[in-house]
Amino acid sequence: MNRRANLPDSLGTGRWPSLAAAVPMLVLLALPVVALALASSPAELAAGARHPLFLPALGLTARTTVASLVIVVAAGTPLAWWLAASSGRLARGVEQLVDLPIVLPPAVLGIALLQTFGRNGLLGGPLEALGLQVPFTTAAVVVTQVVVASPFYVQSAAAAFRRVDRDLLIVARTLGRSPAGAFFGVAVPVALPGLVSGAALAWARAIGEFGATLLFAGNLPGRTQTAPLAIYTALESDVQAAVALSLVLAAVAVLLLLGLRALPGGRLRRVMEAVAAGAFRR
Amino acid sequence: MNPTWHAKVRMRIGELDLDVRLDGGVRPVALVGPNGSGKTTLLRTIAGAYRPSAGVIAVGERVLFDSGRGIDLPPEERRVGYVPQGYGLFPHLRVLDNVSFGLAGSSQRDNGGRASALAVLEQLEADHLAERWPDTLSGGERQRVALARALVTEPHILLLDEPLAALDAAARRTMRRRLAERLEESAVPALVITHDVHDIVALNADVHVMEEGRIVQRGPADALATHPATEFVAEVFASPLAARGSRLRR
Repeated sequence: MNRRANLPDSLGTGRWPSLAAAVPMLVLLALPVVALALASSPAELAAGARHPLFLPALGLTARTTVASLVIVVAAGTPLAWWLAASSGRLARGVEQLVDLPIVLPPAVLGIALLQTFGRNGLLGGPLEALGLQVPFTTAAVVVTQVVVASPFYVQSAAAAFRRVDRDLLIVARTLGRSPAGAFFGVAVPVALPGLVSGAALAWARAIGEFGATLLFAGNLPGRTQTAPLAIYTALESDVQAAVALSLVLAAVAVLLLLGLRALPGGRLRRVMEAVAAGAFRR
Repeated sequence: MNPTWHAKVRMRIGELDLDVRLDGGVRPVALVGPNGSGKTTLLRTIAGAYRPSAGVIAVGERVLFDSGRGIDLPPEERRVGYVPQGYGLFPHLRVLDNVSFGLAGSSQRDNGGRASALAVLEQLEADHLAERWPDTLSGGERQRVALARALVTEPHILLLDEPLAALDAAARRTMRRRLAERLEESAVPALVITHDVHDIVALNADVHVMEEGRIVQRGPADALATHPATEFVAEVFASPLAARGSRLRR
């Protein structure tokens, strides 16, 4: 797959001038990562990793993000499928709504969640009657992650479903499959690369969630203090712990990025290439 | 000729206002018409993907759709073999799994399914492709695999949307002959969309000409050539049959 535009020379701006113009942005992107990597010696990092905040925060991040990812995929897939199949004004409106958490400032989202689940919020009464309290609990962490991460999955999944040739589904039906059978037997496998990359983006966003969590779930060690919040707390007392945690999160993010680039080989890869080549679409 | 299937369909989809009546026997029926005349929509409707606002679709003794009697079988119960334009092979499945996709139990690799899928592939001289991926096949190979996949479920009618259009001229000549033989052997009625008079002649098909959602003329190709009802029919049939060998499109 060649993604370069290959502009003819007469239209290009020349290789070296365009690189020179690109340098400031490159430096700005690369320098913080380099600085983070150079910030500590291995011994200091090891000491930072022994900080009492470190492991509980990482563990909580792992548990909550896996839970929110499961919810995002389970609830987001039907929504994405509906969006892909619909073209009316309602669907366009829903699409805007799905994108809202991306453009809303996290602090605003935190307040909005409090207004929804808080004691005086929209659902406060019913939740209290059931004896459930959401704000400042681990559940609030998961709810926040679901809200901020789901747009990334839903949009990517909807785009992937849209690329599934509807004739494939008709063929699957005429070959004896029920609507659900055609969905799981054809639509999901054909759209799988898009579903997986959307899930990876959503997961990365959930891992990094900070602002809305701070407002809606608080910063309680062991209950709502995820890794980004622990970094924030550690920075006040132990910079090395903050750097060590940051490096772990950066490593996870880089691994996710690399994983996206080289999705599991074999079948998934083949499908991706086929879809990219448009070999099965008119 | 005794019709073994007939379709009377009235519906509106977007800009398209479809109101047609057509039927056929064991001899293939060719559906000819300009782009946008509703041919593919009609095929998909017979397959059960769209619901007509009124009409009857019956194949043999079985009524697939009858608006008056409230009958509307889902696609999976219609026993139609649908081969879409571009063949619609499942890109995530090897050829053998594509062909056995429609076999009962859906445990596609069970021995019975595997054997019957291989048998149909063999009849179409495509058994050597069984372990290949669809995107590694040539156009002609894809067409045979798609046909095998449709035939393996023993459909009561075949719906083929431009089965030869994706092929280059040489492959098209060979595949046209093979398709004609195959349809004659299987004795399954077929409704075939095509743009090419040579396909129609090779398939010995009865022609229905469709324009703007209506059947404007039907009959054998030579009758259409001598007495074309519309400009389109004249363009498609009169001159090419007068000077056989010239190609219509592509």
